[in-house]
Amino acid sequence: MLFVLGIFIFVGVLETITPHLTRKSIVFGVSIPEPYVQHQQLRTFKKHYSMLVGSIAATFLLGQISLLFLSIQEEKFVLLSFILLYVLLLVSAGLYMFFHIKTKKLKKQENWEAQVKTVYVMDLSIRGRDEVLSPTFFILPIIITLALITFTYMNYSAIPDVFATHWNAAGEVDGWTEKTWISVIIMPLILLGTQISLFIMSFGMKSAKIQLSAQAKEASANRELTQRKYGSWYFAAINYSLTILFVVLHYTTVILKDQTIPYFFPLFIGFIVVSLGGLTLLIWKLSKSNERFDDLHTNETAAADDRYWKWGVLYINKNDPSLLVQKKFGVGWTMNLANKWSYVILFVIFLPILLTIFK
Amino acid sequence: MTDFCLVISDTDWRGKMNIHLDPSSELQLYKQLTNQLVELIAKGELKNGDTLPSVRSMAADLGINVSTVSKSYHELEEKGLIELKPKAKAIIIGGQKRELEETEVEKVENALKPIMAEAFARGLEKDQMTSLFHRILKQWK
Repeated sequence: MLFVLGIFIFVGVLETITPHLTRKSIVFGVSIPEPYVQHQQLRTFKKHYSMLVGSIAATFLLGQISLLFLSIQEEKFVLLSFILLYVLLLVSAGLYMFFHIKTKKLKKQENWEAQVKTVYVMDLSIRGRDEVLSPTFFILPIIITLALITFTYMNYSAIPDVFATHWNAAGEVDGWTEKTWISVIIMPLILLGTQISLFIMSFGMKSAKIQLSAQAKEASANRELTQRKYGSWYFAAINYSLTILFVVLHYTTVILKDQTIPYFFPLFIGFIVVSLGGLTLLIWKLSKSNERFDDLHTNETAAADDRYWKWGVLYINKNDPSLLVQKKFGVGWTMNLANKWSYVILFVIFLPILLTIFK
Repeated sequence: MTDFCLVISDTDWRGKMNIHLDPSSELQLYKQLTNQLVELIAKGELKNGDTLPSVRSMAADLGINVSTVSKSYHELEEKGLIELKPKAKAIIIGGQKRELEETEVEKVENALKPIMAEAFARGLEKDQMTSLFHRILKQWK
C-alpha cells in the first residue's frame, strides 16, 4: 500500500511542476516570443496551474492516508488509489487545455508577434557536440530477446503444459496459461515490441530538430544538448532494466519451471526505481541547464513552429524529416505524426491490446 | 579563393558557426543563407570535406521552408563550393587553395567592378577602398 502511495506522490509532484519543466519560451504549449518570456501574466498562469493541481493532489493524498487508518482492504485501497490517480491526470489535462487557450488568447490580444522581430537561427557546429546515444545501444537488447526466443523453442518439449503468467505482490502465482507455440514466447514478444520501438525511436532522438533561441543562444544550445543526451540515457536505462526484468521472469517460469519467484517483486521494484529515479535525475539535470532570459538585448525572437502543433500536444510536420520532436509541455519527445514510422510505433504499442481484444 | 558574394555579405554576424537569417532584410532568405555559408567556408570554419546538414534537417532546425534551403544549396553547387550527393548529403568542396581559371577570375572581376564603380562614383577615396578591401580580406585565412 505504501508503494502505491509512493507512486501517487511521485505523479502528483510531477504533474504539479510540469509547466516549469519546459523551456522558458514555451508556456502551456504556446511559443512565447523571447522578449515576453518574463511576462507577469505567464508566471501567474503557471503558478495557478501548479497551485490547483498541487492542492488537488494533496487533498487526494490526505484522503488516502486517512483511509490507511481505517483498516481498509488492500485491494480496495489499491483500486481507489489508481482511480484517484486517473482523476488527477484527467484534471491536469483539462487544466492544461484551459491555460493553453488562455495563453494563446493573451498572446493574440497583446499582439506580441507584431511587436517582435522574428529571425531564423541555428548553429552548424551543434550536432558535432551532440551526445545522444547511438542506435547501436538499442540493438543489444533486441539480440538478447531473439536469443531468448530461440532458446525457448529449443527447449519447447520440456516446457510444462500449463505455466504461470501472473503473480501477486507476495510472489505467489494467481494466473496460468496453457502451452502453445505462441503463448510460450508472448512475454519475449511484448519485450521485443518495446525494444524495436525504442530502436526506431533512437534514430528519431538523433535527428530531432534542435531549436535555439535568438537571444539566449548558448544557454538554449546547452539545454538542448542536455535534454538530448540525458533523455536518450533515460530511454536506454528503461530499455535495459525492462529487458533484465522480462528475461529473468521468462527464464524462471518457462525454462526453470519455477512457479513461485520470491525475487520477482524486488526486481519489479528495482525497475520502478530505475524509471522514476531516472526521470527525477533527468528533470534535475534539465532544470539546472534551463535557459534564462535575464538580460534581453533586442526584440528578436527565434521562429516558432506553432502552426505544426495541435493544442500544443500533437506534432504534424511533413517538412520535418525526423520521427521525434521535443515536447512542448513536459519532458521528453513526442512523435511527428507526419512521419510514417510513427504509425509503425503506434501499431507495435497497441498490438498487444488488439491481440487481447480479437483473440 | 574569392567570391563576389563575400563583398556584399550580411554583416549581422554573431559567433562562430552560427546562421542568423533576418526576414526583414531586403536580401532574400536563401541568399542570406548562401552568403553566410560562403563566408564560413572563406573563414575556414567549414573545411573541404565537411558535411552540411541535409536540406530537410537544416530547414527544420532553422524553421524555414525546405525549398529555401534547397535553393541555397543549389546555388552553392553552381558556384562549385559544395557537392550534392544522393541521400541528401552536401559536402564542402570549396575552401582549398588552387589555381583559379582565367574565366573564373574574370567572373569575379566583372561582379566586383560595378560595386567598386558605384562606391567610387559616390565619392569613396581609392585609399579608403584599398583599406576596406584589406579589412575584409583579413577576416579570412
